[in-house]
Amino acid sequence: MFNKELIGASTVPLILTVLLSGENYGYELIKKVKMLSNGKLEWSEAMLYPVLHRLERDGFIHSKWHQLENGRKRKYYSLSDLGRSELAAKKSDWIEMMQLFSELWNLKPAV
Amino acid sequence: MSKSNIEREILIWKKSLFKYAGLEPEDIEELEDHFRSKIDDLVEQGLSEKAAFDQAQDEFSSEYTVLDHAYQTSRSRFGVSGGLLSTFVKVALRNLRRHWSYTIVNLLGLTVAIGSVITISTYVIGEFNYDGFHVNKKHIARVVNEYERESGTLRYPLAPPALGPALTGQFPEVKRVTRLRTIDRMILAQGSREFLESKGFYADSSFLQMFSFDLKSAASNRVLSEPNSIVLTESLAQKLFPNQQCVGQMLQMDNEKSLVVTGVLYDVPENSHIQFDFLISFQTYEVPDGYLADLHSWGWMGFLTYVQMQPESDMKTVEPLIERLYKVNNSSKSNTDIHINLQPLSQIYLGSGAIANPHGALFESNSKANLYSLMGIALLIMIIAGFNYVNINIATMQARLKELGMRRVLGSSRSKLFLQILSEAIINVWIASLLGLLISYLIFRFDLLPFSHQWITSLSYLLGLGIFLIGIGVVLGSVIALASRRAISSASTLSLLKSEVTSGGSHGMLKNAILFGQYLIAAGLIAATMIVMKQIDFMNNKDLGYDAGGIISISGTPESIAESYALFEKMALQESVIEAVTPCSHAFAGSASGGPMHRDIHSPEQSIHTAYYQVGHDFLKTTGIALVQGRFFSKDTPSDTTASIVLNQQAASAMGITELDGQKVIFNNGRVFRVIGIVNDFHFRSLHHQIGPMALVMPFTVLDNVLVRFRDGHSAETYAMIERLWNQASMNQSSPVNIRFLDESLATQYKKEADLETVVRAFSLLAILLSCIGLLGLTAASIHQKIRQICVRKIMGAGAVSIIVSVCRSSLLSAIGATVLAWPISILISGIWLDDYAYHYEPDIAVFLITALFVISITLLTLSIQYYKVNYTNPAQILRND
Repeated sequence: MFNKELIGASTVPLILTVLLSGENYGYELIKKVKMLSNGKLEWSEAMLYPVLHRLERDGFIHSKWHQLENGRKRKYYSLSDLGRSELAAKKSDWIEMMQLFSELWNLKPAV
Repeated sequence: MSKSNIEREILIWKKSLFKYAGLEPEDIEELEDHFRSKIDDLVEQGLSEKAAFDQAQDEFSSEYTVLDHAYQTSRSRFGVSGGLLSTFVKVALRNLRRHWSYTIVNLLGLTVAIGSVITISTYVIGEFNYDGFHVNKKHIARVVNEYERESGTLRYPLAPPALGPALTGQFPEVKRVTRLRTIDRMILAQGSREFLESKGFYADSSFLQMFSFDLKSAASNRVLSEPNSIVLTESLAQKLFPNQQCVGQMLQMDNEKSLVVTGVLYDVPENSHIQFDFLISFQTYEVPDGYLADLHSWGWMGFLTYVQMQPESDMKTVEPLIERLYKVNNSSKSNTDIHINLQPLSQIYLGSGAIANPHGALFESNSKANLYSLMGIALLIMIIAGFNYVNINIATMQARLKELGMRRVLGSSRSKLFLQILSEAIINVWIASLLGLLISYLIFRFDLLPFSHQWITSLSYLLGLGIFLIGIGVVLGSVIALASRRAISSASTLSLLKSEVTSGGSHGMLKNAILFGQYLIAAGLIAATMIVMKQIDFMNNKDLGYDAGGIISISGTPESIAESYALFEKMALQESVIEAVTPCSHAFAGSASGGPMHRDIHSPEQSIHTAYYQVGHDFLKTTGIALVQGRFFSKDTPSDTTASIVLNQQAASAMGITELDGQKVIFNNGRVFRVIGIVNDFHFRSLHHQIGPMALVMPFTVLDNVLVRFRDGHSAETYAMIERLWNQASMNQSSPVNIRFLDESLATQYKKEADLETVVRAFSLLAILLSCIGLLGLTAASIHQKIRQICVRKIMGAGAVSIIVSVCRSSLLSAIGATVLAWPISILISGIWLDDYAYHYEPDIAVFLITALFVISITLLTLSIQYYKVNYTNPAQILRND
């Protein structure tokens, strides 16, 4: 389990990154992040939805309701242009940070 | 479970979300999809639909509140409506509504406390503003004389009749002087209708110019300047002349004189230390037959005298001059050790504890100690309510940690969280203040407590109150915010979200301190209430030196008593239930005549001021006063009527009389009496005052009281019989008389104390109740916090008693410690109050024991409620939900 500062700092770039690969909805976002982190990062709906709505209000993402085949409605989120540039900025921050740690700890690139 | 059943369950679940004010319909739609996706997933993993629904619901339920808060917070932060302040208010109101059960407990406590503070402070401020309505209040003083005696200083608010007129002529600093002579009882007749009235004065014409008792209607501006004129208050005017214009009408006084009504006054305000129903012009006053003094006397201390100074003059500079004037004029007389002082009007009502009040109901007084006691109680109630408020909020903070953690994730700064908590406290206090104002208004409006004042009338008081209440809100809010800030800062966001913060360290200490404080106040109040009750009890049951229990007093005008007494006595003594009858000049209710007395072998300079009663032969038999030495007045010794005197022990010892072998005293300016007996010291004044020297003589004026000793207890029959006998004796022609049980009329001397007891008891009860609620809340909170531990222990086989003891050990220790500490504190504080009484109860160990019993009972009651809760809790259920 990660510490609170790390979770707090990583939530927004993680959401934006997942949405980069296409529109998605809340439940799937939680599942995907949990899977990718091997269960280390398990967001609660109570935390995720307010952040999604805040990102939407800030213009980083858009939302759209879809009707499913079984008649259910689902709200999908997608990345906006503003969101893309925000992600780019955040991404370079994180890469710089990773490089700094790699150098400091003499880590070899994983790939 | 069928598909439709699951759909119905989901619908119910969805509906339950609508109660959260922060969730919009669109949010709920989104959450529904989330919920259904979760169920679908779980079903795919192999769970039944029902099990999948239950698990999804379990996982979801703990998140509702957090979500709701998070939405509210994010909307408030980004919302377009209003500024920051309105956002705080909005969120605060939402929180109050959400935690409505805590809100009710909080508001109840605060409302009761603030209502008490407003009620008590309104009363106390009213008491401090007594006589405040007089325009000349700053320049008015009352003449008080002081006798230095070995046993202490005796002070009387009286002056000789010649002093007043001499002051106006001689001192330019003195603007006005007015004299009052009290009227014991008087029959005022309007046509054939007769009324026995006793609340009146003979007053100099300057009285109404000095004091602001306003005239409602009057024949002229100088209503008391002519002889035989009378001024009535509105109420008495209405009683004597129902629905008639009375100015200019005539009244018969004691069937002797005709008085013309020259004016009608508005009723005397309740906050006036002088109370009266009528005023008769001073020139109407005639010195009664048998008095050895006249209105030019400098030795007859029988007149209330008020002085109004010129605005620029200082009372202190005139005081010695007045004393010198008195001494120069009184040089031929004996009382050389008398001092004359001026007592400012503002100090009369609350500063007359040490001054004898020889006129009972005509003058009101109260003691500052009473008022400070009440203020103390109000303060304690406020502190208890404050404790409770902080407690409950810190306890519920546990439940709010998730919300606060979420808000930190969303970027709320610490200072904003602080302001949020502060605004909630202030809003709570405001709501409680409005309710408290309403409660206190109702208390005054419907006279629910013995407070005779108007409700809040002054704007500056209301303003001060407003500032005080805002201060309370800020203090309470700050304490809670600081306590919870520590909790928030010390925990990680994630643990906040999981509500894992445990109370410990400084928070635990704070809680223990609050617990101890609460017990201390409760124990202190219980002890204080008991001491006040014991003192009232002491006053009502003290051996007064006479037996007031079986006596009926009849009082009227001297003429009405004189006409019927002889026949009444004869008829009454034939009744088997009546033991004895006596006429007397005073009936123990505080009033007595007085004069200088010294032994014939001593010089007049050695005179002592001695109170005296004129009494009949059967006075001792009627009252039960014990004869210590010698004999009492006898019908067989005719000279007793003019030349014999009986002293009380104090008078005898003050003059050095130990044996009775023909000692003589000079009394009342020159009359020689032989001392024939000594009686026990009996309380002819209230227990506020020392007994003092006292003498009994046979009547030399016409007496206006009759005492009747009867055998059986208080009964309507005895009363009716005596009334019937009196009417027969007076051939039903008599003027009206007052017939009362003596002990009942004596109890009116302690009305202030009885009122204080009512008030102290009411507010102490409130304080104790609030303490109990607080203690209940505290133990409940500590059990709630340790619920997991309790459950594990229950599963391991621990009994409910051992669990309760372990959880509530600190409560028990606090209860015992606080009771022990409260005892000396309450005795110390109540000692100050008790010092106001010349004779008082000494607090003893019983007070401590009863207090301890009470506090421990409260604790056990609280614990037994918790025991019930723990015993009937299913630990598996709690651990599963946790």
